[in-house]
Amino acid sequence: VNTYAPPAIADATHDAPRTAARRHRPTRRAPGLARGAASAGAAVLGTGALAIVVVTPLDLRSQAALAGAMFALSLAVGRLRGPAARLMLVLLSVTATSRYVWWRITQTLSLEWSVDAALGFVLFAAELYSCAMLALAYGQSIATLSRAPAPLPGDRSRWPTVDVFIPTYNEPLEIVRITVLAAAALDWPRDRLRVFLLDDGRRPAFRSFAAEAGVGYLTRKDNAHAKAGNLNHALSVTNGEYVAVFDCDHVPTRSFLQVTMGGFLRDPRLALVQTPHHFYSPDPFTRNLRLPSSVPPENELFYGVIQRGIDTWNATFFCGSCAVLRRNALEDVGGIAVETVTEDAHTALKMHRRGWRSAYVDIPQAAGLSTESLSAHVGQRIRWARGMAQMFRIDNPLIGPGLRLSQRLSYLAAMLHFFSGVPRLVFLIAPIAYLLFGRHIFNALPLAALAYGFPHLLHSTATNARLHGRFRHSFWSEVYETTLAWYVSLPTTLALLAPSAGGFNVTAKGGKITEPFFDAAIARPYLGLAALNVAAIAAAAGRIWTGTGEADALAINVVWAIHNLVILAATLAVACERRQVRESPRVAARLRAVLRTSRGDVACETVDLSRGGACLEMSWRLHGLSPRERVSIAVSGATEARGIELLPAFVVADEGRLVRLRFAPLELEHEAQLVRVIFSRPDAWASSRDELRPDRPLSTLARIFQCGVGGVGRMIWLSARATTSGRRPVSLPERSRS
Amino acid sequence: VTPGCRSGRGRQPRFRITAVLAGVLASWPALAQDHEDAPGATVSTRVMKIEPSSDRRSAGVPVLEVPFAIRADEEPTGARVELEFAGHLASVAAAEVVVNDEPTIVRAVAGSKATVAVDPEVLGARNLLAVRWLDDAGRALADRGAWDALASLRLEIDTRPSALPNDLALLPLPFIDAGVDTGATVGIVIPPPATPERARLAALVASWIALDAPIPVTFTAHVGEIPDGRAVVLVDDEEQAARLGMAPLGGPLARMADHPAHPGSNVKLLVVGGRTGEELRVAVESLAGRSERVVGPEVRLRPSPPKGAAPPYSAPRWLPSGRPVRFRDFPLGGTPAHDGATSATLPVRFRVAPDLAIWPAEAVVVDLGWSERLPAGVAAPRLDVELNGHFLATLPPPSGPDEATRWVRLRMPRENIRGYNELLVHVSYPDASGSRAGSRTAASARVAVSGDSVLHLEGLGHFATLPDVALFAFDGYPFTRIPDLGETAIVLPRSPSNSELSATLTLVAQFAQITGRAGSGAAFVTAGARDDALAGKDLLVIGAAADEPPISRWQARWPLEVTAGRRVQGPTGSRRWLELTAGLGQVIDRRRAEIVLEHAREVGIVMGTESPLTPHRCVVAVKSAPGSSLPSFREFLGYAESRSLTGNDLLLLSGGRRWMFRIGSPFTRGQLEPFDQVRWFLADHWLLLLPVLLLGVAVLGGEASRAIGHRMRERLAIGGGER
Repeated sequence: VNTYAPPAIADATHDAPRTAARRHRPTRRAPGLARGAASAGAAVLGTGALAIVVVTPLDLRSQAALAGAMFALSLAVGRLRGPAARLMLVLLSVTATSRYVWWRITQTLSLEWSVDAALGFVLFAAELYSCAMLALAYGQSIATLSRAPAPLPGDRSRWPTVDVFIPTYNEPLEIVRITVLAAAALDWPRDRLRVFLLDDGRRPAFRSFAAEAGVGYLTRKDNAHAKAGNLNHALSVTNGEYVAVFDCDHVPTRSFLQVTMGGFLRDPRLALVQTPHHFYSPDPFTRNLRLPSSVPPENELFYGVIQRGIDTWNATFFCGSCAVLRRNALEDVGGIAVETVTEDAHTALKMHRRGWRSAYVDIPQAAGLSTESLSAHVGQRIRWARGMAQMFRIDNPLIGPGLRLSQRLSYLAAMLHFFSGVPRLVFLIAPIAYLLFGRHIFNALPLAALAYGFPHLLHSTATNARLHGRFRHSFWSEVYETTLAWYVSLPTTLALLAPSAGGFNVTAKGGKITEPFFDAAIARPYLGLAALNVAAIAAAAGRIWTGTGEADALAINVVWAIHNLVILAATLAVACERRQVRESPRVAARLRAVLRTSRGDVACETVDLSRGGACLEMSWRLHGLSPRERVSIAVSGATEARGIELLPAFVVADEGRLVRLRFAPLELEHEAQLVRVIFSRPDAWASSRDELRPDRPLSTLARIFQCGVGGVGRMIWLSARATTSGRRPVSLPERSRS
Repeated sequence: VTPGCRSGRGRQPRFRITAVLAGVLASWPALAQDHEDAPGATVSTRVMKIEPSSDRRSAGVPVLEVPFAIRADEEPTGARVELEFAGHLASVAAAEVVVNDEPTIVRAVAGSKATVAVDPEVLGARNLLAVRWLDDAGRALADRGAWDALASLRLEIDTRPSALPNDLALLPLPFIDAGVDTGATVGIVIPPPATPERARLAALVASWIALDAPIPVTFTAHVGEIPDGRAVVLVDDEEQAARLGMAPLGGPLARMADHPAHPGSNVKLLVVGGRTGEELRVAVESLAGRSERVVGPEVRLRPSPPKGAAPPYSAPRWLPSGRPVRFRDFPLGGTPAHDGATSATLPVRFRVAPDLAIWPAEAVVVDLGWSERLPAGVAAPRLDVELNGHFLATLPPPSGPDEATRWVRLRMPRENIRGYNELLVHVSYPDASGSRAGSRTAASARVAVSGDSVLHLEGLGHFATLPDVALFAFDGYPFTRIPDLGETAIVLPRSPSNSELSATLTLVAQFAQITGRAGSGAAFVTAGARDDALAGKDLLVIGAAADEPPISRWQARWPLEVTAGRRVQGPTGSRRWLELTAGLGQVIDRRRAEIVLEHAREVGIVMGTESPLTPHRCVVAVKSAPGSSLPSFREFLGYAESRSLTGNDLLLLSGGRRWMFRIGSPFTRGQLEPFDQVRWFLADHWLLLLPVLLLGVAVLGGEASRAIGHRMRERLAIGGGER
């Protein structure tokens, strides 16, 4: 057994649970009647005060002044640290939003039938959805739990048995083998750890590899219920007390089980411990927009804020990978849920209904591959959206037994998030209604709309910037939602109507884009929407020139349309796929190494490593390593005493201080060692968020604008190039299974 | 003037006299003939300065048309049109000046002036002056900016009076010719001494005259003497009648008589009265009650049947609130239409109660229906809708040639709605619209506002923050709330001067114009009246001397201390701090008022406060500062420099300029639910929302923070804090 104690639990002993218990002992005292009454009174007083502020109408000047004063107050509160300040910011934002909604309901809605009124109701419904999502998102992120790994007992004989499941269907072996090798290297007593490759593709090569790697190979006659069925089959033929699940591209670190298992031993009702999904390859947004590492990737909000936030409400849910589940709990809910295509979240919901608990440990203990292309990303999110809509329909968290209100709302937020498609489309076309067709869908004075609506937007942006911090920069949510809006609208609607329809599509991983291209097929809806907004702005210019129409209404709608265009331009930029230079992404790692050449051994340091090669930084110049020169390299882990054996390699380039190598074909043992060095180090991904920077909303908006402008230029260039060269732009094929 | 360019047609005089006047003159030919030249020695000249609007200038409208009229009791003796050309004429070669189809061509010379004399025989009661530019080829110019060639345009009309018969049927002639006059001044002779009762009766007569006048009317009071001009003479004493040179009055009557100094002219006296004060009361109340038909040189008046007290908000000229009202039911007319392919404005005028409880930032909805008939060749006009000078919307162009009524829903912002409102639909045809179609075809074009259009006043109650000098000055509020002024007491000085009486008569007459009903229920008292005469009423204090009550008694309550100096005095103590929560406007206003008072010499004052005798009742004082004379009330009306259009309790008038300020503490009038009262108060004192907000955020934030902290500790403890 390779033992490893992560820094957080380095001093853990068998007494640690009691120590931790003392440290985390709840300070709850028996809430006396007086205390309860005081709390209720305070809640009523506070809510009443805010309600009065919400429902008091003001003239435009006073409303503008109040909005200014509220925002100044918000800025002042924003300078304070601590949870109370965050709560006050949220309350200020909720007040501003509620004022806006109250004003919309009481003063702008017409109950009489007309086309304008009908369109106005559609817009209002979209706004109401956004405001509800804002409130739910505040609930998700207001109290983020920082959960330290629970220590394991010092007596290893008390450590439970764990089955590691790696389901696969049609992914290439070169991806799966890394995960398998890393799983086999987990620091856990060998007699209590079993790794199973669950191959739904029934491929002989996988069976051979499993045998060679010394892991179990499980397959079945059919592919019923896709991944959920695959896992359930494995559950039926294994018997470990706990089950760790990794998608076949998610490579765990050695310390994964030591970080996650402690909680199960302390809490017999803990059913699930989830860890973040970290990706060591850039997602389509980061890659195609060339975003710097200071900009958080799309998934960071969920794993950096939301999962921690809903952990407070015992609503952390299973994300399908990088998690450990208690077998008893799984058996209690009938195994992995098969009714929806998001079997992971649905299984967690069932567990919560049965009174099981979940926990989230926000330490990246596995890393995987992002979707390589926008189309793959869209395909993946369509499945998620459809699955969540199915859950909403057939196992709605608002109804049914077993959940607390906070859990219901947390699940509701997770599900409703995927219904953003239609509202986003409404926002993208709303200004067109007035500018192109003269429809008054916002039945209010333009300046009043500004006086009430702008504070809502301002407060929500500022508060989200504070709550999400470095995990999601302002306005990027709009880009992400816009990218998906067109594609998730129909699946979510259909799933609501017919929840059992449709199949399971596997997210394409491990592909390579050899040539840059503009994915016109997937960008077509955005092009249409952008054209409509451009036409609307042109129409507005015409109306301003001819003097027809209200100047203030025109101005507000034009600004809205321009904002839409900026977001749409950024979306189009994402559809400009960039070339991937190497098949296996490089992982930055500063590790001590020794390069053995024909002239002797040289101490050096790795800059980055991949399955295919490495980049070394030399302490001094070697003066002329020739390309293709055969060398070998030994790399030691940063925190372990034992390094790996010498790996054969070829020189690719000697750039003086930097030397680039390509590994020669490796034996399995060598490959396993390489995987351990690259992926299995406990701290492999510990610094993955170090470069994220706090949000600065205006700078972010400027960056999105910059991305959009550059993206539109790139789109034109790529399209022209494709036309002149006769090459048709292609997107990666989507793999699907049913 | 270019000689020889006049056409020979259209030389007949075209007098269009009203049917009544024509009938009277026809029945009295000898007198008309006899006195044709009697007042002819006096020729008066009326000057009209005309300027094309900026819209016309920029739109390139080809013709500038100016209608003008001659009073029915005057005869035109000539007219002149004076054009001054600008320094740069562009393509303008000449101007065509047309008066009643009588064209004259004037060669355009940059920087020069030209005068076109108009033959008096061309002129009639209603006339039209048209000016258009011509190019070198004599074609009409419709270039954008062509009107920049016009530096000024002036029309001078010479008239001489024509004799009028002594017939009451001519009323409101000779005092007012509604078709010509834009304002009128009517003298009223009050028997001496000017007691409150005599002032009341004079005010009733003024109201009766003003009710028929669609124009602003100023009344000047003359105690015991007839002015040298038209006047209404009140008589309650036979001796007085004889002293004034009147024939004896045989009882309550109204009589049209020649002015003793201008017999047989258009200068007339309307005598109202009797042999006693009681007969005068009967005569005046009969006139005001409109119970008798007033025709002929003299009419005996019988006591008017008693009228019940008017309920609040029952003014005939106000739209009923609380329900939707169709345009066709508007008392002031709500279904205008325009025929022909020429630009025009369709006015829809209406009065609403000035205290409609419309929340701030709210709007009143109007469903506007309109139809357009556009013959072939006539381009669709542009229709712009405006409310009280504020642009509302441009109506969408028609989708086809059919004349079906189309509808649009408009929102009229609260701040743009007043007691008296003008919803204007400006019809602007494209430049060449009329010329492409034939003139007969173009004449059949029509734009009409539908009588089925609806103003949505449903759900609106009555509630207002008082005092509000603008509401008082323009809508007579809160006095006009009861249209017969049944809850109003008018407080006069012990010895009112003519200017104070004039202000009283003008004000009460204006109230009648606002409501459509004479203020027969107003109580007139003198300063120093007992409190029980003033309690339960809204008080209008006119011109009281500084040392007279109620000015002196309630000195501390007024926004301006005017007994000794001119000191601005705001609320004191806790009220002062409370008023600060309405924003800094009050502090700014106080300083503004001090600056105005510091530099002004003659100062007229309208100020208001809450009645110390009855809560929620208003006291408004119209007076002058010490050392100043009371100006005519009409001078108070007009644009006033102010920080806010509403909620001001002080109006200052000096040197023709006006200022409004909010100095004192406001109070409310009307009914709202208790919770709405709180909201209204907070809406007025919006700064109080901040501590309320802070309280809510701090209390709720603190409580939530404690609960969430507890929850987080639970979650991190063994067992996870669940079940």
